[in-house]
This record gives sequence, structure tokens and C-alpha cells, in this order.
Amino acid sequence: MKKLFTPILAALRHFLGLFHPPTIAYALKESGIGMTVTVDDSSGSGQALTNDITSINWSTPRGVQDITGLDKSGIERLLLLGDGQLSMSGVFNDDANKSLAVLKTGISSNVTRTVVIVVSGQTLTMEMVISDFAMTRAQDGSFTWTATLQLCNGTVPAWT
Amino acid sequence: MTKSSGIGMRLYLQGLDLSGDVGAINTIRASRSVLDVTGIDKGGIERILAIGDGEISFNTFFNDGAAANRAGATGSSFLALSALPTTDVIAMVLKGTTAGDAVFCLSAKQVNYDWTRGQDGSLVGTIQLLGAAGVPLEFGKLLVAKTTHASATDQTGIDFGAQTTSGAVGYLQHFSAATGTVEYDLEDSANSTNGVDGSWANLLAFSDVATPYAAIAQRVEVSGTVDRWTRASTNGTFTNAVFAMALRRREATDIDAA
Repeated sequence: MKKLFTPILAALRHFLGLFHPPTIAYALKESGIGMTVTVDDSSGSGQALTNDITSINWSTPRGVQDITGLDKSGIERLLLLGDGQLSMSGVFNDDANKSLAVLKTGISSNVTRTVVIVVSGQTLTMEMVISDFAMTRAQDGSFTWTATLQLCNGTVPAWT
Repeated sequence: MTKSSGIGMRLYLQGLDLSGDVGAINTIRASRSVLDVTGIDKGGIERILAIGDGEISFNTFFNDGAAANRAGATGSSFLALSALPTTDVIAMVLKGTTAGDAVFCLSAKQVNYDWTRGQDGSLVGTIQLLGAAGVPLEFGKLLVAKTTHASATDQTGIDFGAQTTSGAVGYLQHFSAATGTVEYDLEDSANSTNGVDGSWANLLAFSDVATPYAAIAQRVEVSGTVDRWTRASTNGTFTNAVFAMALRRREATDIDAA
């Protein structure tokens, strides 16, 4: 009897395991839901623009120099200057301390902006200038904006 | 106002209300070029802001007012836009028509008047306005959308909440008038409580408009203090002046604060 049930129980355990993989493998991966974005206004006060922003992308590239010597059969490289670029899109909002109030002065003033991106408790802070702020009134009636920001203080962006 | 759509917007260009002939505003852009000033002691890029610019581009439908020829198309978007003026034009895009709504203003050159006739029979024009007066796109507030004053009248003022001290820029779109000479003024008040009462003084004056009352637009700067309340005002002896007015308050951090 025992000989009969042992392989059956083993097969059952294996089958159930397919539907209950280790939870740790999934809990670590996260979406962008819940992330926050704060941008300084012209007075240097950080303003939460998260709810006005519909999409965002940023990059923190490093220049790369090819230093491959004649004696090498593979590429040698050095990292050069670091940079930060940010592009975001959002919905028009002219409330105080919201997107219009914060972004419009990026063009009329020389004030640099501290940008803080927080994803699941991880923080990326960059000091940036706003180089472009454009709005579109589409034929469907929507009124949206895009903004482009670039690193300005010579400090390589780093997550903390 | 919180987040909102673009329904109810307006576009005025050099004293002409194009709103009904515009199907989309593709771009309302304020931009600054950036200069790379990275020192050899830095690990990341250093940048500073340089020249500013502005652009307003939009799609338009063909409308010549059913005129038999171009000369007869008086007051139409076709007549105005097809002229491709070589002088600067002033555009105002209104987010809405309520006093206090956001307004985007640009002194620009009209650089094209292009058309596409689709196979489906559609006919759509595209117009691009590029900043041309050394001033990038300016963000202001609406004092009054296109309105008619039968005679000298004061609009109800809007409350900025506090006095500012860095100057301002006024924008006027004059559409038409019937008789007399119209004096367009922008006034401010430190002690109004509702935009009507209190004492008001002239903050800036636009050039008077007299016969033949051609559609025009004006941009006028003023330096120094701007009191918390501001309003549009018409003075002089005239009948049926049709106009719109907006104000940009400069902030202390603005590079053109004065």
C-alpha cells in the first residue's frame, strides 16, 4: 500500500509546486505604480508633480572612450562624463504649485531644479535645467504637455 | 481648476479670432538652448541656460468667408493668414475664456501657410509661428476674453493674491471698433476687495486705436510694482470696441524682471 501511495504523493507535490512557485521570485519585481516625482519651482521648493505626470522616462548615461590597444583582441573602454536626461508628459494643470506653475518658469528664469524620483523607496536626485516645455491641444480636445530636463551641476546622478 | 482638457480654448492672432477655424494647436512651446560648460574637475555634465525661444503652430480649416475673390474675403482667416506678413504678429492662446485663465502669448513671425488636400476631400492648413521679437513664449493670465465695450468701461479685476515688484507685460488684441478713439488701459489696485471697488490707477497704456480700426495686437512692458488686483479698462469716446487683454506678471527670478 505504501509503495502505491508514495509515487502518487510525490507527483501531487510536484504538480502543486507548479502553481505555487516560491513567492520570493515575484515579490521583488515591481511596476512603476506608486512612484513619485518632485521638481523644484522657481523658489527652490520641491513640488509634487506626480499626479500631473502621465509618463516619464529618464536616462543616466556615461560617455565611453574606446582605448583598445594594438595588442588587444577585445575592446578596452573607459567611462567618461556622466549625464542625466529626463523627459516627461502630463496633463495641463494650472493650480498653484502644479505642473504649469513649476514648468513655465523654467524658461523665464535661470533657476536650476532639483528633481527627485522615488521608486519603491529608492531615490534618484538630479540637479537639472528645464530646456523645453511644450503643450499640445489635440483635435480630440485633450490638452497635454511635455517637458525636457537636463543635468546641469556636474554631479554624476546616483541612486540612494 | 485642477487637471483639465483643451475644450473651450481660443486662438487670437493679430486682432483676428481664429478659434472657429482652428482644429488643433500642435505646439505651444517655450524652450531654452543649453550650453555645455563642464569643467575639467567634474565627473558629470555642467550646463547653463542660453537663448530662449517660442513657437505656436496650429492646423486650420479653409475659410474665405465664401468670398468670390481674395479681396472680398475681408475678416476671414484665409485673408489674414495667406498674407504671410513680413512684420511681427502677436498670438494669444487662451486656455479658457474666464478671467484669470492661463494665456500663452508670443510675438512671432508667421513662417508658412501650407495646405494638404487629402484623398478623402479634406483640406487642412498648417501654420507655424516662431518667436521673433527677442522674447520667448510668455505665460500670462487672462483679464478679459474677446468682448465688446459699447463705451468706456472697466472690467471686473482679477486677484493675484499679492503685490509683485518685478514688472509686467500687457497683451492686447484689438478686433474692431465702430466710432471714435479707443484708449486701452491696464489698471491695478492695492485695496480692492472684489475687483470693482477700491482705488485703481493706470498700470500701462496701449497705443490708442482710431479709424479705420484695423485689427491689431500690442505688447507693452512696464517695470516695478504691480498691485495685487489688475483689470482691463477702456477709456475715451468711442462706440463698440471689441478686444481681449492679458497680463504676464514677471517673477523675481525671471531673467527679464524689471
